[in-house]
Amino acid sequence: MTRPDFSGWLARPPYGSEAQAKDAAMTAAMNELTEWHATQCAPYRRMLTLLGAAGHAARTLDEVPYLPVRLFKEMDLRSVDAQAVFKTLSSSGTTGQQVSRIHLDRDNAAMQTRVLGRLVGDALGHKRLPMLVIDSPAVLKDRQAFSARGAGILGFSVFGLDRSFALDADMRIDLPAIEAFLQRHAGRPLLVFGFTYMIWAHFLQALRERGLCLPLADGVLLHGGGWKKLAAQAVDAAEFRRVVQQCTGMTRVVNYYGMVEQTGSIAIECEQGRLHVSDFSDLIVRDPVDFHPLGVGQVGLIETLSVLPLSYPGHALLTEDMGRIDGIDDCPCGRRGKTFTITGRLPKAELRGCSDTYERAA
Amino acid sequence: MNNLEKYDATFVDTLMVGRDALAALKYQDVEAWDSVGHMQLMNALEEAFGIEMDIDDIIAFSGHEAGKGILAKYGVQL
Amino acid sequence: MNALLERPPAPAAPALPLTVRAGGPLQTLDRRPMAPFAAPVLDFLSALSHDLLASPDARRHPDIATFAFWCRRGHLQPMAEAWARGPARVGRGLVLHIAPGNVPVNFAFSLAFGMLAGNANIVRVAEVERAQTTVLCAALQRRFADPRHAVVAARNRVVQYARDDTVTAALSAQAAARVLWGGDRTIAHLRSLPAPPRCVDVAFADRYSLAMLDARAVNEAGSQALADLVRGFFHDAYLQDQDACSSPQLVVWQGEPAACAQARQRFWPALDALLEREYALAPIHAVDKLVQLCRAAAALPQAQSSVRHGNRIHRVQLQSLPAGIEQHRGHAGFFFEVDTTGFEPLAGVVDARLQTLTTFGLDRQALARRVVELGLTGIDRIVPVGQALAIGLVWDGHDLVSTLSRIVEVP
Repeated sequence: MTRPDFSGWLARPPYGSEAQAKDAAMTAAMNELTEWHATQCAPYRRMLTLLGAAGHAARTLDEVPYLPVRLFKEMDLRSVDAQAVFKTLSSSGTTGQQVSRIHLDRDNAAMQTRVLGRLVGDALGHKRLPMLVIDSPAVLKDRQAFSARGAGILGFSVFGLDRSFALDADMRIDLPAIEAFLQRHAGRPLLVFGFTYMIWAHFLQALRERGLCLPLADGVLLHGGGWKKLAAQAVDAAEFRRVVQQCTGMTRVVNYYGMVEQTGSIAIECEQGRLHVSDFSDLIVRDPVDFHPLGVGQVGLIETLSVLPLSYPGHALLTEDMGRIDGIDDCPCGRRGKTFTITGRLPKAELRGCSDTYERAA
Repeated sequence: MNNLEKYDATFVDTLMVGRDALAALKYQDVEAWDSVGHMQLMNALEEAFGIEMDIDDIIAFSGHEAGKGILAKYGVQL
Repeated sequence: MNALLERPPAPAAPALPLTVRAGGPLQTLDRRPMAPFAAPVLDFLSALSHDLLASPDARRHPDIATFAFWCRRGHLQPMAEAWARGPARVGRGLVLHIAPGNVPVNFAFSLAFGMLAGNANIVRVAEVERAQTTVLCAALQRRFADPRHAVVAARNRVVQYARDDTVTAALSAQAAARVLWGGDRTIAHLRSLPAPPRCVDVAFADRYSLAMLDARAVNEAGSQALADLVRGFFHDAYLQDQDACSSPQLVVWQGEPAACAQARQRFWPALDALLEREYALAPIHAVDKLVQLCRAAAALPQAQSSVRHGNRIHRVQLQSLPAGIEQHRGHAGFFFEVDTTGFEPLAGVVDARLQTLTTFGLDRQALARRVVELGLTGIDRIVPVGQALAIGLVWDGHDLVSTLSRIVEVP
């Protein structure tokens, strides 16, 4: 079977498809990808058989067979020869925790960059902006083995000029470096980039402690990486934005949702504050009780679909995030497609008292 | 040094390749031209020619040959 | 008591970095053994049983209620009488118990077994404390505080400490017996810690269990019998999320293919109906089971199909029983399934890991005889579906009162 090629999709506007057309195009693409990975990846083929999904195409998007994202922490799944793998991404994880291993070949990696470029370009414009990374240069130290943070920063560096780091090697705020950067680019719009928790814990807190407000009013803050740690400290998106404005003057704060298992096809927050699914990806919300697809507004398990995974069978993944679809083709920003909200992570199993098993589901 | 010489020299200095390897050289062909190397090369070319390239052009800059066409867009004749 | 009998306790051990969850300081532990089923121990366990059954906390946990019920005088007294008829026995001395993390109530059973065999006991509970552990330690502490149980209180401790070989080794060094619960690696590691030359080790290692159902019996069962079967299976499998070593991981249908197919059609939907009424599935388990399904697909060529009842029941149909099936466990309602005619095909894969065989519609005595005849290295108990979790003094093939006490022989 010839390898699927969706590079033609790059020519289209990234949020141009209306629901019906998108469903049809995405379902067809998913079927092609399922077939491709089934021919290329023996373990994946076996899984399709056991899931009862082998040999017949999905008629609707929710029929596309999906893998649990955790599988990539347990198994090496790839759809290309080992020699063709030129980069392996790994998810961040605390020591002792298994990390996902995503095997990329050159074409897969190149396509990810192009799609990411399309999407970020749509959000921030196509000119590169002086870029301040809220992290430490140490994160890119080991060129052979980037952590998820390093890979993310590198991936987004394409959009930046004179990429500079706001934190020193000890993760402390580097005011001289920041000041020098601001002087070099005085009067220009700036891009500030980082992971949500890093920004909160190492940048904003440090500024607050010193009672500082940096002159970044003309900047845009692009941040991703999840709200879980902030939620644990009872900081929500509204509070985050408030403190960003207080400490940097920035009012343009753009969140994105993405995962290492589907790099490139991220969902970016629009001017109206909604996360948008692009034409390169899709989203389904499933009821945990039996995985049936839920409707708009209902909270369930998020499944993400992406046309990018070609060197590994990651095109349809059931995540461990909970969330809901907020609307379809109806965002005031004008971009078509689904908008969604992530409500939290799937709770770990309660160390049950057996009494739980006898209580009715709420 | 004319533009082409400057262009080639930037490649040689940033990616540590020989001049004779340049004609056929593409992104990811050599270890030094990984994503980090790419950013370094783009930076170096921008500084050498006093230009600022667009995101799409940075992404599309796939090799020594292709790069010539891209630099032309910024008024750099090679 | 006169001075001769009132020997002081053994010399105090140096203070160890651990927390005592029930009982006094370690240094004052009285290690003197007693006869099995000694009156103070029966009195204590009976009082503990009452305490637990009267406590609302304890009643919220069916596994604690089961333990409390097991400790009642009506259950232990007949056993005491049976043992009294045998040769003179006395406990071995101090028994160190390393309790399992997966089944919280087992530390209490282990302690009770040690006591009933006539021993002083130190039980280490898991660092990550479950609700049941907290409830049970509180009850033990209350009963220890009662002066009527001073003799038992002096001889027993429940302790907690982060995994620390120095501590375990220090405790091992004084043990006349060790009761070790855990995975194979944990057990191997614990065994390697030095113990006195005559120390007896009882290991409860990783075990695997299965259910064997006779297809015809299932097909012919009346609605009440089917309801009882399904409830029994629910109890065996879902109560501990299949974490207990006696929870069934594999369901074997005994009979002709058509009968087996029909029996499956009767059994699983009936179980699902019960689950829908009485079981709250944790969403994470739905994901866990999808992961298990994919893992089984990749690892087991014999896995030919799967059936999912919502996310409550996941079944993987095996073409045949592979050797090493015991490496594949289910969790929270995930079962391997296979058809067989007769016991022999099953016998081919039985190894030392196989602990409990729960049955329906089969002659258990006959099966037990086959185990012996075939010289199988596994299957320690054959019980009806519903009894899988019923732990007792004969466990994992060990008669614990025998093993943890010694005979004073007067030939």
